[in-house]
Amino acid sequence: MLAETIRRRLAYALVLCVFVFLVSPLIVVSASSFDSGAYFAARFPPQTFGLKWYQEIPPRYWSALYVSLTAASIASLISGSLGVLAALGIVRGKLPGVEWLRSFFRIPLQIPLVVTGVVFLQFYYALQLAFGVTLAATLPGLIVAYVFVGMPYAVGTVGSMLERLNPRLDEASAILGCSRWRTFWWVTFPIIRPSIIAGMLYGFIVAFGDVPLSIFLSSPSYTTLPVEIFNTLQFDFNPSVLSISTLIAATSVVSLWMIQRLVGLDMLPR
Amino acid sequence: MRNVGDPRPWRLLLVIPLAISFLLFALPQAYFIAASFHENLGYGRVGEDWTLVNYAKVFTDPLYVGALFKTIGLAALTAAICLALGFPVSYVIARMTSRRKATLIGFLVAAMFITPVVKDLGLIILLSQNGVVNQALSYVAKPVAWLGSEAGVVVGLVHYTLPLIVLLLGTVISTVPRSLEEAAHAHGASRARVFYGVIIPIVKPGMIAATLMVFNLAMGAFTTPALLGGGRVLTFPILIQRSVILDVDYPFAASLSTILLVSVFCLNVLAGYLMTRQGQFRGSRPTPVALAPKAA
Repeated sequence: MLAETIRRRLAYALVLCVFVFLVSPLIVVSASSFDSGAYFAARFPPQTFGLKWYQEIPPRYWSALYVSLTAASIASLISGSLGVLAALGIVRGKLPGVEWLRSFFRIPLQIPLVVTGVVFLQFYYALQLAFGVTLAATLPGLIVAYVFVGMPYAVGTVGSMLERLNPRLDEASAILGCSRWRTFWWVTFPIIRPSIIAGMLYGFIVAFGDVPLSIFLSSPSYTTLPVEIFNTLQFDFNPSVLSISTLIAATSVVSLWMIQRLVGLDMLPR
Repeated sequence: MRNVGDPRPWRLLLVIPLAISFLLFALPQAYFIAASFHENLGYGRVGEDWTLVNYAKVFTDPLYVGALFKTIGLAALTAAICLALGFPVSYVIARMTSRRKATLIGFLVAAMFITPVVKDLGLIILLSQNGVVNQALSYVAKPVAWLGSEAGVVVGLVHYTLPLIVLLLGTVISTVPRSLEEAAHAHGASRARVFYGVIIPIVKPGMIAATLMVFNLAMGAFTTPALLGGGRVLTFPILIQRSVILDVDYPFAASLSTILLVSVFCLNVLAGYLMTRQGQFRGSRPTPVALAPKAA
């Protein structure tokens, strides 16, 4: 019995260590962002407390945050809508070889994002040469790339919700004389709505935090916040990077909390 | 009454997403791979003739060959560490029944989806020369130069992929009914025998899939090796980014990307092949059902 207790304690200790390891960078970043006395390097544990580095976030971070927020939210709306169509077609279409279709929609998750970034950059240059449209380092260019990487999440969350849906509901609605469209709008859609929002939120989080795609599709004057932070960390450190990072992490945590309230976190795509 | 089960109208919905996915995936990807077989003329221009000169450049330069092996090695080490740490953790979480389980899963998903730049910033602070980790280490050993070394990159990659493997293994392990383990125990199987004879054979396919997924993620990771490697650990994704941003050599970047994709694909196929062969060998051995009680 003693051996059993020790074994259990050891297992829980390992779990605790792993979670401390996973969470510690976030705690460090947010704690040292409140250290007003730090100038040239982040200090952990922080020695003073103040909001100095929140007040002194330079304007380029705010404009980059604006780019990130607009691109990620528009892209997540588009990828969410496309994902709903794809999920309905996959689950209800009952096509032969549907597994291939599923894998096709999962492809963006299998390709390294750096490769996707280079592919899109070169594709945009080709479009520019052929049609004269500029997509590199523009809002539409970022959105197109984010839609590509965000769609698998929407297909995944909406698809798994549709599969759990009771088919009797559709039959009942038809027996009561509803048209196909009315059935979708008044029966199916309200049930799958949380999963649609969750899929969009996943797409948003992935696009909002992306570096390897955006680094190719942005320019020094038009860039997203994670790329701006990435460049700061590579070339010159500034304590305000801590405060803006804390704000980003908080945005992601709030979005995930919303997903958890909507559908629960166990319906993860992949 | 109209035909409710008719799937045909639903199929029409697939047209738009399929067309867009095809437009965004197949077309650019094909154009990109084709570019890797052309010569770079500078300023982003690409030659007309088909050539293998880019691939020859990669495979004759020890820098690139070495980087490929280093990327594979770092990813394999990451996957091994993740499996070793992640398996016990996901076992404990999968066997939890309380509300604590939901909290822990929430932590994992948050750790997975928060952007790598922020996590890497935290790791940089922790692992810096005078950081908390080195201060703690100073009581027992010499401080380690984590940043700008392979050690730091592996720590970062493990941090990047560990939440995913714990979540994936958790779903796999929850498919093993608790009663199966108890039955084996009741028949006198030791703890190790239950683990290797009951749990592992059931979770093996899922375990392999999860480990490969982590390996692929680590092979393609860019942000973490770039920030924690400090420009001194050159993995393949970093070389791809450099050849675009610094050298503006698209055909060469395309050939590097193609090699990365092909090597990831081949390693996955190879791993799958080796595992199924091993599985056939295992098949001839006693199956978990025939788990005999140890002779008293």
